Amino acid sequence: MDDLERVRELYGTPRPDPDAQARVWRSVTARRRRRRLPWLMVPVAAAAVALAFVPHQPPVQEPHVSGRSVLLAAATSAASGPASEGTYWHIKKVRDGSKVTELWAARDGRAWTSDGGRVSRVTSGSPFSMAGRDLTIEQIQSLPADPAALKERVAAMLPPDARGLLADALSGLLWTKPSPPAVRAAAYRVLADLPEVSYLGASGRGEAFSYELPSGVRRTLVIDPETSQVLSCTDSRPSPRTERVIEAGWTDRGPR
Amino acid sequence: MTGETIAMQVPWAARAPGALDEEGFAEAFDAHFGEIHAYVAQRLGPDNAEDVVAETFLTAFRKRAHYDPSRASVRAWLYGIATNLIGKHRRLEARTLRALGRCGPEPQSPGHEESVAVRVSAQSLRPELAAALAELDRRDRDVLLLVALAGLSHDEIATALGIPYGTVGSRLSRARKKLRAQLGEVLVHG
Repeated sequence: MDDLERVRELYGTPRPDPDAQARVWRSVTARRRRRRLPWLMVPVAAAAVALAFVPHQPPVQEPHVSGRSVLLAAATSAASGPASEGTYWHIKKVRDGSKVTELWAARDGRAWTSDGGRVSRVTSGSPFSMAGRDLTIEQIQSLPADPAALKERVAAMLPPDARGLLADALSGLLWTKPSPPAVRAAAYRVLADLPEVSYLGASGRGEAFSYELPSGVRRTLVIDPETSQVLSCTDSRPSPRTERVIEAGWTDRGPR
Repeated sequence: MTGETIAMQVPWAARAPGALDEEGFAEAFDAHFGEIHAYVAQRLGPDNAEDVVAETFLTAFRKRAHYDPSRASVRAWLYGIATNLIGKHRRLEARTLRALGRCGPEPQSPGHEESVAVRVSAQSLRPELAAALAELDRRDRDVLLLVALAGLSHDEIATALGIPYGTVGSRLSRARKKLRAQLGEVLVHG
């Protein structure tokens, strides 16, 4: 055994406790936000800090913070999100920590997916759908920006009495579709008032919400209210599956 | 979430390195938290690691505009920041080394049985090794531990610490010579 191996043996392999990562992330983001306070709208930022600043404690739900206020804070930041500028709408996700999936969609309907650097063209239908119906980017972009009108429009596309589907269709507008900032903001506002959406509290880097699909599957979304981005989506059944969002937005960089 | 079904694999290594925007920063945090935490916990003890790790990532976030993907990997860059912050806790590091010399690190998790024999053979030299490490010049120890614990290349260490490439080699060989001298003495006379 050489001296470097002896050094490694001496130090061993410490392992953080399972909550350490979430604690450190909260501490980092809280301090980032404090520095940025002067440039932000104060009430929103204050709410975000109240949520996120729980240093060195296990993740707990702040009792005075309601899920509704978290979603409304997300709506406010969504409204000022980046405009739909760029040639391609792009989303990159990782499933269960290993499988990476990517999608690029151009405004003219062309779309590509990527597999190990091998890009293939999507040839059948639109890459976007809602309750089984294809949607073009144009249709998504022209959805109403008024919460009540958006709710009505989305509900009209769904089968009647499908509890959970409305929440799911609306949350799809938040991350799997190229929705304009005003539509994302409206979707957050509608979700904030849906009784079937429950708030689970802080989770990892964000705030967790869940609803039950008609199939009985419980779907949990973790969102970052400060950026309004959806960070991950987990389905409870058949076995828990998580998709984590790495990038989502418009870009000029095409499929590669 | 109804919608596209795409389930294909892209190896992480195939991803082009990019500048650090906010999302890139979150991704770098997720990717490297574990090993940066382990490195800081090794050098400053598990009880003190979280504060320094948070400081490391906060520093990285504030300086992200200065990060140049063409010069260093995010990983090496984070190790450099962590190492500089560890340098501000010299007494803590000395105390951690004394503790390591006395009783050794925390027991490893299951699945590491293969290293038990090796650990036992090294056990008798723990106090001497820890003392030798504590006596090294801090800059020499930084380089030695970035090689031994982080597995960084000379090139990466030069960029991470902002020192010339040749200096990495000379600090490393000085550190190893001192360790070997101390341990050799023990092995011969001890």
